[in-house]
Amino acid sequence: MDSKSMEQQDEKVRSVLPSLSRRTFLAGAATCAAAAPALLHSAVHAPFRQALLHVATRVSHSGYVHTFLLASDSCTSLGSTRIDSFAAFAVHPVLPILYVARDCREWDALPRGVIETYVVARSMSPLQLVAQAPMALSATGPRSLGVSPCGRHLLVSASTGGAWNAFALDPDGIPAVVAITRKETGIMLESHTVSMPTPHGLVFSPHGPHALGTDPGTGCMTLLQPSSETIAVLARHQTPCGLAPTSPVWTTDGRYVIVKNAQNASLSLYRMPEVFEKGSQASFHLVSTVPTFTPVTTLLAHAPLPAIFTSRRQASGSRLEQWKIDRSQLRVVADTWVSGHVATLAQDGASLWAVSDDRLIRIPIEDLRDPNRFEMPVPMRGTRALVTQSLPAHLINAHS
Amino acid sequence: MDVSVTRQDPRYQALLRGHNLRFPENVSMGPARIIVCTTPADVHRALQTAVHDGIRPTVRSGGHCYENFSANNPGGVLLDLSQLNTVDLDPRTGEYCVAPGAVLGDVYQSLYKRYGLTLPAGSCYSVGAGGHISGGGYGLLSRLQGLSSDWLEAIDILTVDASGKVIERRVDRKNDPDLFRACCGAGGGGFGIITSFRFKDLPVAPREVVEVGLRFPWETMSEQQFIALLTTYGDYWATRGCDPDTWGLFALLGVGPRRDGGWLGMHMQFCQPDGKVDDVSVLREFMAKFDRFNPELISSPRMEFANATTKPATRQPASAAYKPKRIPWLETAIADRGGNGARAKYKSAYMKRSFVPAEARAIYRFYSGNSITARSSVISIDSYGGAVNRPQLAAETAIAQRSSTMKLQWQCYWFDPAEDAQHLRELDAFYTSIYTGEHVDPHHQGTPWGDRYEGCYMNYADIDMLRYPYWPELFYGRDGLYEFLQKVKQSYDPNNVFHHAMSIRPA
Repeated sequence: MDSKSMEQQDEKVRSVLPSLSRRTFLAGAATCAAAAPALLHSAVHAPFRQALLHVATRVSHSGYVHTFLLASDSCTSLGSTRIDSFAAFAVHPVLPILYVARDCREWDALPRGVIETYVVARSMSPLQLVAQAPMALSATGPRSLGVSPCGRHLLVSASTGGAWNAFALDPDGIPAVVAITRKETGIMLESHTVSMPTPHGLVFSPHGPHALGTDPGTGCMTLLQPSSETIAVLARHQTPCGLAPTSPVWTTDGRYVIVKNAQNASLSLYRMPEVFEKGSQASFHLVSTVPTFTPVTTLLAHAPLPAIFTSRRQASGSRLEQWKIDRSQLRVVADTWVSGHVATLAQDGASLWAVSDDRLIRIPIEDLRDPNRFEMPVPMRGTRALVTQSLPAHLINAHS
Repeated sequence: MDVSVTRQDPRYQALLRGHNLRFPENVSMGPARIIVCTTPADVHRALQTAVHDGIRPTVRSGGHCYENFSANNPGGVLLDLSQLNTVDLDPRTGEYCVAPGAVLGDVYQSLYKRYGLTLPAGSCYSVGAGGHISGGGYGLLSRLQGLSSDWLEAIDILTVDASGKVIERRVDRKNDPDLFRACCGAGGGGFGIITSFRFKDLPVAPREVVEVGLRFPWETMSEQQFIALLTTYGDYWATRGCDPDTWGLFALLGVGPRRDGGWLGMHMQFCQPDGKVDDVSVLREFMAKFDRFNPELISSPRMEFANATTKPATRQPASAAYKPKRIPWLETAIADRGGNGARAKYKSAYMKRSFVPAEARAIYRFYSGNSITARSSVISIDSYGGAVNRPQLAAETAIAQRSSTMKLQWQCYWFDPAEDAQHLRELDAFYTSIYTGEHVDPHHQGTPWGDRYEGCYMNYADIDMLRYPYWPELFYGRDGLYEFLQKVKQSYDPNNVFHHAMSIRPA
């Protein structure tokens, strides 16, 4: 999109959204955040919500986040923001904020990644950088980001640094300057060899301030609870050798975690207790593992629906599958095949979103076999991640 | 029994502070707790707990770290080893054991009074052995006897293995020789926690020394005279100063602000290689090099530098007027008690040759200016080389700089936190200017890199240098030492438990 057409697009968007100063927006949003998650539930269902889709691409170290406005029958590009060394992103549960972890080898001449905070705004550059928070010293290789449902904590995995980092978030969603770090060490295996830690996947429980982190290096899954001073370990589970758990998702009801296993083509289902408390003897356990024929590339838990979606390569395309948990087993209930490689999935209400063959695809959940494709106005090569963000319309009109 | 001091403890603030009051930047950057350890078992226990809990440990011995390697540890634990401070003879091995918390002044007293020995370490009484020796350890006797780490026979160190278990090791040239070598100059907070330095043989302390000072009127000195003074000083160390009969001569030329009535001071300490001072001809020969600059003679330089007006000047050439006054060595070794804490910044450079005019000119012009940083700083130009430069030591230790004849230390002190940014910026710019020009390799402008230099001293840690991708070469040379240290790091600290801003990066 050239600058003129981007301006026109910007004006078009501006005309349909009421204007609001950023200060006003943050004040209102802060109130929202403080009241979360109760308000969050009502906010999700409030009228005049607007859905956004952020698509991160990265080729070598250079990358972009492309932001789109989603409607029932359209997908409009708001613009692109250059973000080099993109590693992961996450959205704030109520504020129009996008957090991006950058996998720079060094930040400010020290070995560590950096977390950037962007306010989503209506402008030619829809992401406005408002804060940069360095990860802890030697916390390198961020892979996943998670924001607690209460909007008060941001967790990051530091894969090559062998650590988890946590940032307290202020009411405006800005991370604290100082990162709290939890350093992992290797695990002695029965073979008397040691597997080294590479913290990777991360997902917050839908019901609490605790998150599950996966470590394909040690095979450990760890339940973490961040606070302003520490990252407590509530429970650990050593997965069977050879699974190498990576990307976890938590079911909407909070009862299960599903994890894709990096070393074989399978998904594992873990039963989570209802309540975790620091110091308790809480534990979680593997319920079942199901083969997927080819490795799962992306895994998504649909929030309103009790459904899990996966994509995996198959022939020259990708197989999208919808799973449900049936008597402690994961079972496919629907599937479809799409051409091209689907690296990542996102959801918005009754739709899934994917990028394949430089096209954005919307797939209605009620019928996976009827995808709508949208021609993309920007190159989508090297797509790394998608995330959707549903916000009251006036909030993303806040930038002035 | 160790003592745990949390943020709520009234002792926390006092224990958090080291000598450089810049650190930590604020209390929130400090550790969650400080563990005061009194025995190696305390250290073991505290370290194991920290690793188990996923908490970053940092270590402090004397608290003289030039950068923020210890206090800056948000949420972590600071292991205070200052009470692990014994100096003993191990009757089983015959080794002299120096604990990391022992301060140098106490080390000198113990070794001298009990055994008649010494360690060629630094001049500041309150510097802790832990960081000083593991980073090389240089002082007034180093030209005569080498670096303090050159004398190490073994060390006791706690490392953390891949599975997070704390391992007690006694490493020497046969047991874990790579780790031992790494700790002979590069061991500061990067591989493990040293709980004892062990020395089999130590040099006999000099019986006596002489001290003398020269001072040069700074206010009336022209740029050309200044260049000539510095090149005369540098030429000596690069030529005559390499001869073994001069190794007992140490000198420090201090260059500071050029203000009204100010002086350039040069401090010398001398003893013969046999530790006596029957013949001071080497010293007199050195002093004569400066007669043409009309210096004033300071026969008691420590007193004189403290109060520059107490000693009348002499009209004779200084080298001729000089009447040696013998002083028991121990008296000089423990004289420098160190100042009160201040905010500070330091930088360093090793020089293999004398000054070029461009370097001297940059120094002259900076100190002729009236900037707040010029008024708050000084460059100490130390003699170097001698026994330090025995070539085989480069392969046996982790000190790469074995060809230099001078070592420069920039020191800037102030008290007002509001001045931090300006001093850091101006001192950095000043330093960079000295190493910018045709005398420095075009690809390494701004740094003491190339044929004339040997980079920087890790014990004078300086995070400004991290902006240069080749900073490991500056501190560890260009002969593969850094790569060797990375392998040691991988073997003995595979989880990178011990890290700070300038620690060895995992490969």
